Amino acid sequence: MATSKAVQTDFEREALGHLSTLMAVSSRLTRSSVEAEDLVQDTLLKALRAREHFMPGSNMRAWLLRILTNTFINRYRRGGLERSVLDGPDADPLADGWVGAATMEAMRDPESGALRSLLEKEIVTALDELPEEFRLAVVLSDVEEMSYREIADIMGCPIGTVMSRLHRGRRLLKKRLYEHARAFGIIGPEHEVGPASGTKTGEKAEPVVELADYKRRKGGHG
Amino acid sequence: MSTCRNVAPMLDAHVDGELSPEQAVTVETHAVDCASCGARLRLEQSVRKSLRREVYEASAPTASFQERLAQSLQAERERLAVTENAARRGGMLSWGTIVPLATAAAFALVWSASKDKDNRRANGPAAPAVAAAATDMNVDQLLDDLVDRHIEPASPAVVDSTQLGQFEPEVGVPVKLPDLKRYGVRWEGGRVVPVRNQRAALLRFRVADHRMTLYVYNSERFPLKNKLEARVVKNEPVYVGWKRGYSIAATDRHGVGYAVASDLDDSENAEIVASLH
Repeated sequence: MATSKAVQTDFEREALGHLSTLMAVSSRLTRSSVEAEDLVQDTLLKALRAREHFMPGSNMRAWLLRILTNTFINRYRRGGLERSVLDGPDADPLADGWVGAATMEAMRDPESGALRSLLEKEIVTALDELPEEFRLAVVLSDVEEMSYREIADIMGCPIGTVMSRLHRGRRLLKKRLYEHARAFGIIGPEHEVGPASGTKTGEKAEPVVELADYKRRKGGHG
Repeated sequence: MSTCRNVAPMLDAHVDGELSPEQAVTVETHAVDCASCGARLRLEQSVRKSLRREVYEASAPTASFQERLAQSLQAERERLAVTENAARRGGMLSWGTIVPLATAAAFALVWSASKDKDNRRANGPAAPAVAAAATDMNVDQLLDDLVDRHIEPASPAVVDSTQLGQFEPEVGVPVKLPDLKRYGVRWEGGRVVPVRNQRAALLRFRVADHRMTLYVYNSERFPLKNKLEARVVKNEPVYVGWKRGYSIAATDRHGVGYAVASDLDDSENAEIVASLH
C-alpha cells in the first residue's frame, strides 16, 4: 500500500527503526526465517496495542525485545526457554590454557580482526546449536552489545544468571569453533599445547585430565 | 601485580564493557605482557565481530516482509482508532457491541429462523434494538454453553482423526483436524455436542497442563463476534473475550466458524485461532 508509510505514527517509525535488531534476535531464537517474521510481526502488533505502557524516551529496543522474548516463550515454550540438558566438565579448552596462544591466533584473520572466513561461515550454525537460554544471552550480548542489566531485564532473570549463561554459551560456542578449525585443518594437533605437560595431543579437544589437577600443577607460575 | 589467574575471569566482562576503568586498565596492561591472555582477548573480540556480521547478514528483513508489516500495522492502528473512539463516545459500549449493531438485526433473523420456539417468540417481529438485545442475550448463552462443554469431561466419540468427517452431516460444515503442532498442542479426541439449539463439533486438545477445546460450527448460526472484541492477529480478524474466567477466541473462515475455549491467555487463544486456515 503506497500510503501506509505516509501515515505511520512516530511510535511506529521508532519501533520499525529496530526492525533489523528484532529480525536478528528473532531469527536466532526461532532458527527459521518464516517463524522469525511471524514473531516479529506479532511483537510489533503487541507493542502497538500496548504503546501506552511505553515511556517515551526510555529504551524502546529493550522493551521490544522483552515483548519478543515473552511472546516466543508463550507461544513455543510454556515452561520457559530450553536449557542445557548436558552439564559437562567445567573446562574450556581455550580459556583454561589448554590451547596455546598460537592456536588462538590461527583462528583469527589479523587483517579484518574477525575470525578466519572458513570459521566465520560456520558461526551461525555453531550459535544455533546452543540451548536457547545460552543462545539468547549470547545474541543479546555479543551481537546486540547490550549490558548485563538490560539482558537480565529482557530475559527476566538475575544478572548473575545472565553472566553464567553467557559464560557457558560462549564456552560451548568456542568449543564448536575450535572443532571446526581442526576439521578444516586451520589448526593441527601440534598447536594444542598444555603448558604444564606436552602430552595432551589426542583426537579430542576436551582435556582428559581433571581441571583441578591441572590448576594445581599450574599453580606456581600463574 | 596482575596474574593470569586474576585477570582471566575478567576477560569476558572486559570485552563486554562491564568493568570499571581501573579494572579495564589492569586487564589491558596484563594482556600486553601475556601472550596467552592477549590471544584470548583478541579471539573473544574476533568471535563477537564475526557473530555480529553473520547474524545480521543471515536475518536481513526482506522487502516483502516490510511491506506486509506496514500493512498489518496500519490495519491494527485503524482498528485501535475505532475502538478508542467508541470507548470515548460510548462509555460502556465496546467495539464488540457498537460496530455490529447494524448487522445484529440480520443475526437476529437467522436466530429467529432457528427451531427454538422460545427464541422465535422473544424475537418475533420486534424492533431492531430489541432484536439486538435478544441476540446479545442469546450469544451470552452460547458462550456459556461453549464454556460448559469445555469444562465437562465428556468422553470422545472419535479418537481417529480420519473419522472426523462423519461429524459433517450433523454439524453442517466440514470438520478436519487442524495442524497445531507448532503450539505444542496434542489432540485427544472429538465428538458432536449440542450448543443451545445448534450442533458443533468439539475437538479436545491438551497444551502442557491446560485443556483446550476447539469448536467447529456453521458460523452463521453462532454470531459469537457480537459479544467478543475484534482483533487482528496474523492479518486475520479474530474475536476474543472472556467468560467465567475462560478465554474464548473465535474466527470465521468462509462460513466455517472456529472457537477456542481454554484457561490460557487470551492472546494465546487468539494466535491459535488465527493460525487455522
